[in-house]
Amino acid sequence: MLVPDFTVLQDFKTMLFSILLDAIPFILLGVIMSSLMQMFISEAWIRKMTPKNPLLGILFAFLLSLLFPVCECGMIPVVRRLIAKGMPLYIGVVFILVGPIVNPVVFAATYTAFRSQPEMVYSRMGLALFVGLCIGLYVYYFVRKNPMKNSAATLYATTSPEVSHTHVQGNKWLSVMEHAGSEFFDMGKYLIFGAVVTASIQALVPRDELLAIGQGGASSHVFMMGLAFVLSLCSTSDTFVASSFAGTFSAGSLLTFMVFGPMLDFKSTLMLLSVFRWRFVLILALLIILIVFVGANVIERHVWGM
Amino acid sequence: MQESKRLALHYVVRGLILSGYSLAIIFAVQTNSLSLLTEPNMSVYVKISAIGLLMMGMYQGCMAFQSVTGVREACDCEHIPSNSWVKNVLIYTLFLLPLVMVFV
Repeated sequence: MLVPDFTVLQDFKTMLFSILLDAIPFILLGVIMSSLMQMFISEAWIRKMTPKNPLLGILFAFLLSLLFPVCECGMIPVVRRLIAKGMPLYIGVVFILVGPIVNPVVFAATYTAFRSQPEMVYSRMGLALFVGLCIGLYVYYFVRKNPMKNSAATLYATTSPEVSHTHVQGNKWLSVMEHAGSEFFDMGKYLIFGAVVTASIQALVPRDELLAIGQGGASSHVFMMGLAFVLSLCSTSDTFVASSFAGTFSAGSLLTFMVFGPMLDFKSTLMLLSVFRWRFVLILALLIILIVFVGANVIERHVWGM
Repeated sequence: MQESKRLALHYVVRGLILSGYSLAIIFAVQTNSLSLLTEPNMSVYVKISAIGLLMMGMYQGCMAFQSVTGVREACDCEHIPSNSWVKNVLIYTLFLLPLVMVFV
């Protein structure tokens, strides 16, 4: 009988579309903003605005995160553009990591999902900021060689603002639309691939197997990291998936899920690899895993006394 | 294939894909299945994206037309689609996969 197969296919379709539909508004927003920045922001402005002191620089990145609530899907083309325009690497990296979490939209979502546990909201924001701080300082002090993948994008972007890049006589806004379209396809292929893989896993693995890992202990954190990595959801969706696990999993492991997921998952790893060299992405990944693991455990002990 | 014609083909395919996604979202809205797929707070933004996607799709069509009639010069910036047939077929198939699942 085809009925069992049919529900799996149906589950797959639903999961796939949930992920894509959640992501598309943010990707569109991201590519449009990236194109706008390419057209209208000159590198001199960036250099003027960016603080020299690393701590101030990291603070600047936090401020950007608060002002520009974009999901990680939309963020990466924007940051690529900014770094190519002269933004220091460490600020861009902090923005990529912290931006998806520390913004008003996600704050509201987390508060809504965890109404009975408001400390979850502050823990999530606090841990994200802490990870951002550590990695920002690391990149500032230890990363010497330029990890950007050499592409015409980075080479091209350093032309002077006078050479305004329009394809059809004069109209900047149409150029924005054109660049946004190309970037959408650049980024979109990673989104769709990640969404397809994620949806397959979610549709094929039985729920109770996923839930079989219980409370507490390192295994629940490791499991949550793995799950967050594979699910590759935007940070607002992460919130609601995590709250659905609230009865079964420890608060600390949910925190791991909600901080690790937006920073590093299958989909965003692919996107990062399209922008940075793999060694750099590996270093980032290891740092994120380490700091989130330690941080979440520490918070779990102090806030919930486990 | 002449460069402008090759680009025009890419623009046509991309325009169709973008418009396809826009239609898929509209389809979901019409069949009232949007709430099954996204949170209620997001549904407004998804609908707005449908409009954005449609606009971008139509503009890709314009670009295709301009490429063929020679108004637009092939620019040498980073957004050139690759020359490899295999890569392009793979990528566009990837984009078409969800659309096929919606409409079939």
